[in-house]
Amino acid sequence: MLLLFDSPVLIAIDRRLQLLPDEAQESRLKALISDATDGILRQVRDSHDSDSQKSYQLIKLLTGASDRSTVVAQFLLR
Amino acid sequence: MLLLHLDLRVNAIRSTLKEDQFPSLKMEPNALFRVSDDSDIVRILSDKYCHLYIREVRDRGPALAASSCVDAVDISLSLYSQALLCLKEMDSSTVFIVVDALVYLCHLLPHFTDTVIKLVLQQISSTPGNELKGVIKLATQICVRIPSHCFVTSFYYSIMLFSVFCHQIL
Repeated sequence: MLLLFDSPVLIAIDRRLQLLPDEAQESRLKALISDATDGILRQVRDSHDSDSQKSYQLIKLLTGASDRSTVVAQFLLR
Repeated sequence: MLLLHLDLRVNAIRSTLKEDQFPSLKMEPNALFRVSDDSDIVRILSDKYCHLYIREVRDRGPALAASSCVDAVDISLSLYSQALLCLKEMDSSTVFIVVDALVYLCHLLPHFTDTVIKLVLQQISSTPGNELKGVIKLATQICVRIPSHCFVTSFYYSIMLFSVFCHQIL
């Protein structure tokens, strides 16, 4: 059983399944990243002077997400 | 961590299958705030599979979707929303479990995703940068995944159930 759980194939399948794009990803990205009132990009701009650590964390979020998903990367490059 | 994760999922499936009623209805109101040991984590994961079970009941026959199912979903949504608001107070392993549960719930109930996104943005807006770690993890997961393809999901859970089957035999 341990062999089954430790199997690199199973781990690879789990990771690949979790990273598959879905049809609602685009709308989620719009709501989360580019929302005009409190989207992440807006909050990066707003907290740039008052809380630079927050800006850093949010930029890190965006770069981490685009690193893991090409859909996010393409969305940010538009 | 993945090994532990899979093992917990297997335990959760087992405990869910043994329950005759919906486990979420038995959860205490503040259960998610006091997650300290494996049994509590398994209880949360059991709740996740409760949703899977509810969906199965709904898909297989609307007549079986009794009002108790709707109540179970409402109670769990409320608990998970409260958990999201407390992410900054949790340790990293609890954050991992709660984030996973929230993403899974978004997959099961797509309309809940909008609520989660609104809560995440509110949290980011009202939380200082040094306390953002848990919310950032959740936001990243919302950006990169919530697989909604039925085949993918059923294939994934087939593997999990096959693991349970092998575990029972061995």
